[in-house]
Amino acid sequence: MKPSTPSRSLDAAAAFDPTDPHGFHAHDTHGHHIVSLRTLLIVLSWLLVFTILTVFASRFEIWIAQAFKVEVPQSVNVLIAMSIAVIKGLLVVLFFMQLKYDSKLNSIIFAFCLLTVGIFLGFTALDLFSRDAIDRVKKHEIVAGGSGNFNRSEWHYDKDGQWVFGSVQVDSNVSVAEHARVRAREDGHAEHHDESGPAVSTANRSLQMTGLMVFAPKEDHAEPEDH
Amino acid sequence: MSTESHGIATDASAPLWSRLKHAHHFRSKEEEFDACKIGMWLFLTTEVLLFSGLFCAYAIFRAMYPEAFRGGSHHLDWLWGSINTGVLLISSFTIAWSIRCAQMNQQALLKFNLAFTAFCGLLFTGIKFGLEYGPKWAAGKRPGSLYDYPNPSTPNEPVWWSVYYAATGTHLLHVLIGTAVILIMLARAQKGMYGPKHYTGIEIAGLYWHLVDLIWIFLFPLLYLIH
Amino acid sequence: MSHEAAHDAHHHEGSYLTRTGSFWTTVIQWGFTKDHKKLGVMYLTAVLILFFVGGMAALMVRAELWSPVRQITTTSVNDAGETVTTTEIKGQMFNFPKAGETATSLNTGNETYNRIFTLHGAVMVFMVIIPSIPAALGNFFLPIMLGAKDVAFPRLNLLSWWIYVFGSIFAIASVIAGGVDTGWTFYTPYSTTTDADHWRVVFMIMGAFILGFSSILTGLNFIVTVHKLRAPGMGWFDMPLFVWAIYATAIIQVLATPVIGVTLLLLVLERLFHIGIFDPRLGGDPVLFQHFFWFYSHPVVYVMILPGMGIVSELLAVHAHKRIFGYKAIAFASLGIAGVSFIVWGHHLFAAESELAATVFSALTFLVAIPTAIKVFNWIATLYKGSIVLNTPMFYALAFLFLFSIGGLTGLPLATLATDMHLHDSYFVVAHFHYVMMGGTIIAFVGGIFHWWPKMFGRLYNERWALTGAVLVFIGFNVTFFTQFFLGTQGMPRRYASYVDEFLTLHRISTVGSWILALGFFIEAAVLIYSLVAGRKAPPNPWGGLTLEWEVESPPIEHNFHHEPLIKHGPYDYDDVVPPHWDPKDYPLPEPLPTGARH
Repeated sequence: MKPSTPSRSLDAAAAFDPTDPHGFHAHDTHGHHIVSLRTLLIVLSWLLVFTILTVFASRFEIWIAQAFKVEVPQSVNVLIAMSIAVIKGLLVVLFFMQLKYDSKLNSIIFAFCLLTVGIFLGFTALDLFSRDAIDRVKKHEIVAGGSGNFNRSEWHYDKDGQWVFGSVQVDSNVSVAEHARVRAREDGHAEHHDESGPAVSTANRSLQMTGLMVFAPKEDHAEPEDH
Repeated sequence: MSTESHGIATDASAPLWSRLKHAHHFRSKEEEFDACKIGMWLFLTTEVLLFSGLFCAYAIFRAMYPEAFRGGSHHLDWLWGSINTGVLLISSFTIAWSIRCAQMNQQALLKFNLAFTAFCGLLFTGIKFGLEYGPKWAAGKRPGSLYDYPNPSTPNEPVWWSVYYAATGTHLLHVLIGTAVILIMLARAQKGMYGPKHYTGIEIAGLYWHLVDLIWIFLFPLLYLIH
Repeated sequence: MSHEAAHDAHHHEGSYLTRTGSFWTTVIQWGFTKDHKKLGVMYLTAVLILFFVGGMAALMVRAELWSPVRQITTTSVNDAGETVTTTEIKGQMFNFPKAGETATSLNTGNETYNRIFTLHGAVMVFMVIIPSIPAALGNFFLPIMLGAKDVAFPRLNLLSWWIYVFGSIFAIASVIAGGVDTGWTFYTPYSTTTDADHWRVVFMIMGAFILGFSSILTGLNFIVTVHKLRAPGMGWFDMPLFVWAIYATAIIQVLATPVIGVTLLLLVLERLFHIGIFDPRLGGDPVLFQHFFWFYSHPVVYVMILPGMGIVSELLAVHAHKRIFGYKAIAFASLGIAGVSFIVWGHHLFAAESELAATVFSALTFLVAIPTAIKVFNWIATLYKGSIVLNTPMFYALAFLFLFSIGGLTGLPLATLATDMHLHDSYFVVAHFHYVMMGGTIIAFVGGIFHWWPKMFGRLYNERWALTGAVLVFIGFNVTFFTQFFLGTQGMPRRYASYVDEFLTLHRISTVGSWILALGFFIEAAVLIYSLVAGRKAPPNPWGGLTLEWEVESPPIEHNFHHEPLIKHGPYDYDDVVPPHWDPKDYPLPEPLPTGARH
């Protein structure tokens, strides 16, 4: 009977280390890197500097908005804040978490993690931000709730400005939200539906288009005695 | 087991860390250390994806209600937010240093660094509760239907507070868990469990703590520095 | 390791099942065991018990659908000349009013039906199918197949088991408190408003939340085990395909499950405090919940099916005594499915999401067909000219091929936007996912149990009765669910307790099918239980497999191997290796005999 000690010969591999059968440590000793205190201190300093920088950038925006009435677009705000955050994050991941000195596998794991986050955010945003986009070709035949010019029953203002449920003529080329606005203007309620109020966001438009406006009918309706 | 000769002291008077063996199903201490690190990186992956849901909600609602987010963000105190960022960054530095201490067998410094990190975790929690959550909650700046503040910037401001409390609350929960883990590490270090040949626990706890820091690095500008 | 060497020492080491103390000592030993085999057996027991619970709920659903529910109002003139109106409800099997409601009505009956199908769905998805193969069979066999003594983190494994128990207790508590009528998907705003005065919905959601952690920890453990604990000489492409499948599954578990965690957390906050993230009245968005939910729950469909595919790869190769065709293709197809699973979730909300997103998701969904078809074709090619033994495990593997192909192909009309608009939320969908989930995963799971039963418990079962049960399961399954494709295309919507008279015949056929199915499963259960009591002792290698689990004893010893095994041949080298522990009485070798008996 053969002796079967862990160091028995493997046909192919001559130099076989029983404690490391797959050669994980043959080329690098990543597990035991000692980061110097100097590196740690430098990284900490940069992290604090970047923190001050990002706060300063934001305060600066607010200051020029107040002092010079210059509104910096939100995209710039997000871009600056996120760029600095990514740099800070990289510093933490590479040096504090030692990914720079660590096994490649851990970097791969982290990369896959970020990829998954990207997929999650990307595809969800794809839906949520394209909800009011209807295919150009079909736009003329499809409106929310039906197709073509037709009469349908929905909550609306009647001639006396009363909020009632009943038959409404739907115009195929105008979205429901616009339709309501046009009708209101015709009825002399324009001042309550003007464009100077808070912009109707994508979600609000889509809510109205999907018929969910029943939930919040009150906020953009005028009382008849207002005028 | 042929691996017992791999640098493990059998002398009972030797420090505890030098006498600890690896679990029986691993071939070597090195392999166990690597396995633990891979496992921890996988766990961090799950943590990042947990937060990705909150980041996703943030992105969607900020795009839907930019004014509500801007108005809500101006209610936050950027100064205390920055100070808390500093607290977490410094604690991240001290826990990274404590790994170095274990590797260099600087036992006193190791314990100090662990204790200081835990203190920073508690400081962060104290600032968050005492100076941020407390006053805001009392003033009626609460999430969703609990919102009771008389002058909202836009009708959708409650959504901002929902995202704010959900994101920072989940993060705070992680800070508290991390602090508890570090205190356990401190108790173990007291017993002399960590030294140049055995510091897996501190390395793992450190990775967790850095992740808490990493999440905050992104949450801070997204929540406090909107303009 | 040569099989002679297996017996040269350590004869005192008993099997992992050996009792070393009194009854209570044994219970405590099992409760705190870190042994992956004992944990696997405990998972298996729990999963089978919950499978029984979920199955009973399914039988109740089918029984309710035996006849349509009708409320009949009769007006008559009595002797005194007064007009009397009587109302009666016909065709209702189950009608349990909630606490506080005394009278039964159509409404209470419908709610009872909702609770029953939610119980069926939630138990089967969260507590049976997701942990079935990875946590039960994977826990038991993954370390042995890799030649390891245990999984990488045995204590974490134990924690994962107790989290599973804890989560299941939450969910069962909710059922005992009266059940949940949200459906297993917990769609808002219904799930945040129904039973508003009661905690049971919160309990069910918390149960699913906790079960998620169990799934994450198991997956994490398996990934590290595969990376670090392979036996000397075992490269990535020497791993059995079951291990590849479990590995791909574990990747999905780790990357997708946390998202359901945060989703359910937000849902609980929404329900308890109305934070408004998913509530349109407060500016939130209910479709956002659907995205969050399906970002997890679509990948989890592959958490369910991938391990089943892994088992089928094993069953076909072992019981056809043939090298698996296209090993690498099958292995990479597992990873491919895992990858694709993350970019197709939107096909669950075709009716809710934007046109652009629906188009993109529809196009991406078709990608799933590619790796899946690669696997099916390779399995069929494996059977070609194999020495097929038509025993119970092989029968289940063939049933899988048949049923899973139907399930997969009926997925295509559902992935196509135009046809899905007609078919969505109909019985066609119900039939489709039962063909995949049950015809795929459960059939493979039961096949795996029969394949590895002799190894796990050291007992052989009665082949004839087992095969009879398997045939009944196959017939019953098809009778139950094939009819539902017709019901769906004819317009029968899902989740209704009643239907129009035209559907009566098909519904009755389906219900009869469910009885045949149940009979089949009862026979299988009896066969397995009887084998434990009076089964013949199993040899180490009853089927002639070449993977490492057939080299260890049946049942395995505490540390699996007497010595660390050294891999000298691939898992499917039937052409040139005589299987270990070969006994011509147990199984014949393929003709002509392999040259160069390397073992």
